[in-house]
Amino acid sequence: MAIIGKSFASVSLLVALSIPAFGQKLPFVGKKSDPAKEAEKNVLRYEKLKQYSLDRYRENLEFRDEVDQRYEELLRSHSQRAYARNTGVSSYIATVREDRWRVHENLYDNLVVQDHINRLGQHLVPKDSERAFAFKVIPEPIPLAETLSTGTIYISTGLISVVDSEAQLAYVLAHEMAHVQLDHWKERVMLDCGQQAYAEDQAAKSARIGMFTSLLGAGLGGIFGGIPGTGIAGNLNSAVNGMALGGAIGQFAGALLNRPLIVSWDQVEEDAADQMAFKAVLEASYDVREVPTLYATMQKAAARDTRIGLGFLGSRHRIEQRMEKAKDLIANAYQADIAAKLKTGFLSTTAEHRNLMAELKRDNGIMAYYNDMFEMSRSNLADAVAIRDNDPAAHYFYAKVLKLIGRTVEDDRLAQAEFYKATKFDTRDENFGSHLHLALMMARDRNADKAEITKELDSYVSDYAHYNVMDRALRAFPPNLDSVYEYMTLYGDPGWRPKPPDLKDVDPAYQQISDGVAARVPGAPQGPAMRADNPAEPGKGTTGVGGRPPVPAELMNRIPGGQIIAPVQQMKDSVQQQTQQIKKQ
Amino acid sequence: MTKRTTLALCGLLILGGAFAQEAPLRMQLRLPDFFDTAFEGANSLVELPDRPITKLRILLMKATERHIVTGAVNVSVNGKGISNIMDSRNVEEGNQLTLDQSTLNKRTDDLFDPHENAIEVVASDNRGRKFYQNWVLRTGGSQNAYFAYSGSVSPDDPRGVPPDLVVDEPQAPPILKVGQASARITLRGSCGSSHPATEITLDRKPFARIQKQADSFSQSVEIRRDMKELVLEAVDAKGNRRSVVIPVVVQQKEAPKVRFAGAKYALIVGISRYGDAKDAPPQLDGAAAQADEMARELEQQAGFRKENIRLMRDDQATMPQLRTGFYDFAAKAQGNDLLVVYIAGRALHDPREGHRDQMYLASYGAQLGQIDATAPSFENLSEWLDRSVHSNHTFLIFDVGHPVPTGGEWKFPERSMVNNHLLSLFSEQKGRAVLVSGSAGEVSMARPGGQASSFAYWTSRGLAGDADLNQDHVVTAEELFRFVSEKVREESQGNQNPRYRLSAANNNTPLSELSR
Repeated sequence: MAIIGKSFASVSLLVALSIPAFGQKLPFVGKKSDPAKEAEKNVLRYEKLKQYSLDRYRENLEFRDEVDQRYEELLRSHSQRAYARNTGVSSYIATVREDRWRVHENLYDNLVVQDHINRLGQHLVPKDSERAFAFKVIPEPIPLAETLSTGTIYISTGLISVVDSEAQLAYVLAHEMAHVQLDHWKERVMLDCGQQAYAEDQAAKSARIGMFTSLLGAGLGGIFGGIPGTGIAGNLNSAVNGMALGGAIGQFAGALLNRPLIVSWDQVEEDAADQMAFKAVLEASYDVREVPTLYATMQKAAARDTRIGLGFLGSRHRIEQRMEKAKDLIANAYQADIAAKLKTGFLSTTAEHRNLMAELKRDNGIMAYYNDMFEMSRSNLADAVAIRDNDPAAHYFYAKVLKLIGRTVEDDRLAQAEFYKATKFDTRDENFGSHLHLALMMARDRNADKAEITKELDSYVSDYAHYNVMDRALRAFPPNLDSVYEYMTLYGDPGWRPKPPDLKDVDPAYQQISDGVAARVPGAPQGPAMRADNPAEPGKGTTGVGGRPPVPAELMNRIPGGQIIAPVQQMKDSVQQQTQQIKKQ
Repeated sequence: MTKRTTLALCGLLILGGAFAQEAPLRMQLRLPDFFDTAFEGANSLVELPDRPITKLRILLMKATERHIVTGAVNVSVNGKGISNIMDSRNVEEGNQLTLDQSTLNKRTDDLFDPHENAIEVVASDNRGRKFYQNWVLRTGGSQNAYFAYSGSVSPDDPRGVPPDLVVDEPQAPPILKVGQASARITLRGSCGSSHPATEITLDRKPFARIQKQADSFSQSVEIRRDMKELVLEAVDAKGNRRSVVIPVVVQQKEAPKVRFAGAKYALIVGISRYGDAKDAPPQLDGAAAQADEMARELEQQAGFRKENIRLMRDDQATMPQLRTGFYDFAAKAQGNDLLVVYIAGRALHDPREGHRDQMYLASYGAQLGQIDATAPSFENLSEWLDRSVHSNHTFLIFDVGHPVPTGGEWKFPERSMVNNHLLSLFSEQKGRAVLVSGSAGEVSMARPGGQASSFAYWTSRGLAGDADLNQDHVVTAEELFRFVSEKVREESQGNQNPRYRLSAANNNTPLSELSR
């Protein structure tokens, strides 16, 4: 029993002493950690690891080769990602039943917005920077910002759309730029290798200490354990116990030395990027006092829809900390600079930015709608119609989301009014769905004017068919025709329509080829989806017509044979049935 | 202090916080083209010299501290959003929105009206609370509605102001009766200018010279049958100009027999009572009676057939009934028919905090606490018109700018924008003309000693024949609109200035064909 008892005590001690070796802290033991102190400790660990890695990079050729090789691999992989995005850019008009909208892939296909964001970003790069940067907008409703080691900064339409002002957006871009400027990708690779090397170093040291203390324990146990005993057995027991105890102490000492340097370098890098961004934004005369508001906005948006916090600026749990840090910088370190800048005024949002936000928020609101990000969709589209009140697509999708999530009579009234505006401003008869929804909403009213309802249903069918016909003709034109319409409106020609190409000088042989390709188009386009950039790939979305045949001039403004008549007739029949039902009611 | 007391105090504090009234957001308007002064709150009516507006500055005081989201500040001029042509800067005092010539150039539409402009701002904070403020910018003051005024500033004096040229006599266009080859009239008035030595010409010939900063003139002039108008122009020493065009009416031997070819319809609405709900808008004496009077006038004097007049009074004018009035009745008027829509009653801003930028026509059954669900908004009105009205000769006459008592639970912005917004129902393309009882911020006044509004009275008188300036037994749209505007302005001593928008195509549409 004595042996068992003593052995049990030794093993218990061993287990107890061994526990901390598995982690640096026990979450269920002791007081709750202070985040500020934790952050401070983290910085110390980071600095220690960074110094260790730098020293090793300088002194150890093998280590340096490994770091360089891994960094090259990263650069290659980032280049490939950039290539895939750049060459996969496309935009096309898609339809899902009665909805028509423009789908963007890989990069947001709005040249003016892309250019504006890039210029804004370039304006924030430190003047002495030797790095080259490109700021690009990706079509993604979830707020994301991503930086590649190539110097490419991607920012999602979702993130731009939830940011309240140009100053806040400048801060986001500056933050991402800072990651590249501060060489965080290279640093990550080096620290990653450094951490591994450091752990190996420490494991070797720990093993040596463990061995030494075990031997020492065994010796001491043998010597002192025999005194109270009665013979050899007693001495042997003491030696075993002594070795176990010595081993345990050795392991504990080794573990203390072998603590892996667990560093949240995200945290340290994010803080460094925040600092640099703060300075860059201030130097560019944007109002840094809006930075805490940015964090608050993000926090609020993420609370409403957790997807919004999925990819924004690192850990969402740290937003509070970073907001406090920003407030601290404003109140202390930069107080004098801010006061001086306020005398002439900070830039908050330029007219150009606000104007472009109407387009971006509309497009992101539509994407959010199809991703069931209701709140974001509603808020984006409400902003879009507030900035530019004659955009039929913005009114249409705003009405759709209001109709979908509305709960009250007022919501319904607002949705119906928005559908009406979508029909009113639809000078090109492209938002055919607005007529259908308007008719169905009017039909809910017991005193509804039946003639009005049938008129709207008829407009829906006619506009749909008209659009289908025109869509085939318009395939000869650039995919970003919608943007060109917007520019034309902006520069004073709202009634502009593209002219059919003059083909009289075209060799008849080409025209024959062209006609032949057109004739091979499979069936009627049930929905005007098309990929304008890649003729080989069939249309995305629910419908597709497969490729983009060149359009002969005579195709313009005429219905292509019976191909389109049949589906239209079917639609008309179906709508007539609905109309009859409504009349019966 | 016991734990219970502390808890109770905390509860009270929280409740107090929840119900505490949010202090209004202070907003200032600056007009760098004209003044250094900032216009704020009660100073929301600004009289401007007659020069184009090219710059606006709006300051939202302490916007950052109030968590005003800069991306959610919407500014409009005459109902048109202009936030996309305003730069936003944060300065010591707050958030400053600036419009200047460079951003203004990006708009292709005519943003500013030469006479009156309503500027409205809606700002939201990060908790979604909305703040509203408006200003009315008026140029040229109260002017004779029969005359045409224009002014220009010399390129050498960009901050100059055109001379102030006022014609006191004649008060209406002079008339040459049948058989009268010429006549002499007195041309009397005054002219003021910051640059003395102002030359006044009449039909490009020297007429008078003003040496002082302000002086009067009076001369007898001859009018002849070959004249269409008298053009009086003042040019000051710096080259700033102002002209007043006085039409000359020449009666023909036999007035042309103008008959309106199409049918004539009238939808007449008068709402004095708004129902029994606790928060119904206050009663408006006289509105229903005015509608009766208007219907009678149209039938008896203006040649409208009884069956083509739909009169909707008080409880016959609920929101669904009004809608039906448009869809079932007004829709009968086809392209070449004539349609008059006359509405007497109340139109108001949504009284609820945070919704004041929305405006409604108070129908019977309207409730102030839920006006958006119980009364048609101006957007509804616009939709009804767009969808139901097919006539290319539609005349909308609104006498709805009555003051709303501000006591009790409901408060209204100091200056109502309803007239300004109703004017935007004008559509040249759709042949739609609009006449409203006053300018932005003005209220419709009652006649001295009576309940009827001055606007309604003169509209009736005009249709009855008083507006027939050339005495051809036909009151055209232009004649009526000018007559009503001038008479109401005169009677109110310039405090109520009806406004109208009328396309050239509808100027001569006969609204009233009088028996000879």
